[in-house]
Amino acid sequence: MIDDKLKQLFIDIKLDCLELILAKDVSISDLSYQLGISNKDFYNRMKSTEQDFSFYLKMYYILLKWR
Amino acid sequence: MEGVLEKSLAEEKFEKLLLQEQQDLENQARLLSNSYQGAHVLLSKGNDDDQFNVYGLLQNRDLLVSLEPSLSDQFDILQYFYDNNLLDVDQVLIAVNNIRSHKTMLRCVNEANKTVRELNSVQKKIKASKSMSDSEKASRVLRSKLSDEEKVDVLRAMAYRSCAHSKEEKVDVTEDVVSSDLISTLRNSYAQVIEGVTPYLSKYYSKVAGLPPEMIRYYESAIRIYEELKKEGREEELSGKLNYDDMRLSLSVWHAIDLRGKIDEMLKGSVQSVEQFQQVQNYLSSLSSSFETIKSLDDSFSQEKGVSGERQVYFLLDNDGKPFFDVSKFSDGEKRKVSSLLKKLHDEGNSDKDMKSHPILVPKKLPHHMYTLRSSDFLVSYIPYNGDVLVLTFGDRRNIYEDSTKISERASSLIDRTIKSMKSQSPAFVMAQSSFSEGLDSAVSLGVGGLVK
Repeated sequence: MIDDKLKQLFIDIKLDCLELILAKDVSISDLSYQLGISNKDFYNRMKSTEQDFSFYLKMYYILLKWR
Repeated sequence: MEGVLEKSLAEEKFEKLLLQEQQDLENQARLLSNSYQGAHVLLSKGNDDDQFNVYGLLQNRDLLVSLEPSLSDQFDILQYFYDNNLLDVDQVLIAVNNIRSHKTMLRCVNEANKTVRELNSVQKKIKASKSMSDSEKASRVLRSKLSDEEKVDVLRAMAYRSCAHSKEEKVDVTEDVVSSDLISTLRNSYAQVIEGVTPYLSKYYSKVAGLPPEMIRYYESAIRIYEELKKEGREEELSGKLNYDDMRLSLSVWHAIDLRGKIDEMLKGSVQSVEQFQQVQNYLSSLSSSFETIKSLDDSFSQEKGVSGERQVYFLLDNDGKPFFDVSKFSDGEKRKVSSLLKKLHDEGNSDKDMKSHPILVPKKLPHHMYTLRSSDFLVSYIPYNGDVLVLTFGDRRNIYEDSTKISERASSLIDRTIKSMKSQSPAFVMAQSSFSEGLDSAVSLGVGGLVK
């Protein structure tokens, strides 16, 4: 039960981030820079299934504020 | 609201808690004072006839044994040879060494400066707890271990007394209308909670300023899930993936600001119906609970940061005392940025930003979590530890990631050793850092500002 909730939360936040990236036409290079990581790290993290909420919460916040 | 002028059980319980807290502080002060005096004795030198200061050690036997009871045997040996005037035998040297090199004694000496700061801080707390104003007392009530009902009980009684009610009055909560006395008590309780919580809201406002509601929704969900995992003892699964305390603090501050707005709005109008009154009471109870969370997290953050509250900036130096960056290769502009970044790192300690709020630099599979701070396109990478920071290197955005990752991978054990030294504050480490800082300061100062040590 709790594992399902955890998984769902992770999927939700990841999808929200992806939607914002598409909707705001965000440059991955600029986003990686804002996150303080390299482009390569960014792609690796997006591919990873590790439920790193700190990373996605930070990204979501940056994307919400993205102009 | 019967008997508010007489002490209720809750008030007596609260006073007992306060007394216990004072006694605990006094015990803590005694221990710290002993530790500091112990360090003084251990550092004292003897005269020509007693170069190991055996007389001084024996004179302070009770003090030192109270810090480390297992050393009693060593003092028996010293006493025996001292009584027989045989201070030059090897056994004396061995016993003195056993005493001085015991880990408890070494800690006393190494942490003497920290101890004296802690002692000052504890003594201030003792003084403050003996002369508390009503508002401070109210804050203590809210932070105490009393149940919510007991807290409200104590606060109400205090509010009544502060309003100089000289006689007991029955409070009218009729079905439709709330008495003005009860509303006045509620306003006083609210004013006391606000007085306690406002400094924290100002301190942490930056954490929630402009935080969109969507983020709050995620914070709430993540915290709920973390707490469920915690109940099952599985919170470690989110270790390093979710900053629970930081999110809880942000959420509590956000809720407290929201509740303050709602209560202010309701108290602006005329609270007359029981329903409205209970609504404000519920908001106030939630506000008190948010205040408690914020206060306790603030306390734990302050403890992490250390009693001095001053952030120290250390540098990762190799075995030859050389850093992992070459200042001589930096342009004048870059040197200015180094100076500015170091100042920023240091100043963050005096502001309320958590050092860990900066972007994480590299994947978490590396042994140490590294963070970056930037000044235009120039960055510093560092590892936060216990309120201080360990600087790894500087560089522009093209190479800082690669360089820092390499350092983390190749110098992992050196980083571990340096962090250990940051903790133990060994004299050799402190001297090496201080001397390096001075060198770097002159190398990057360029006559504009300077490096903050």
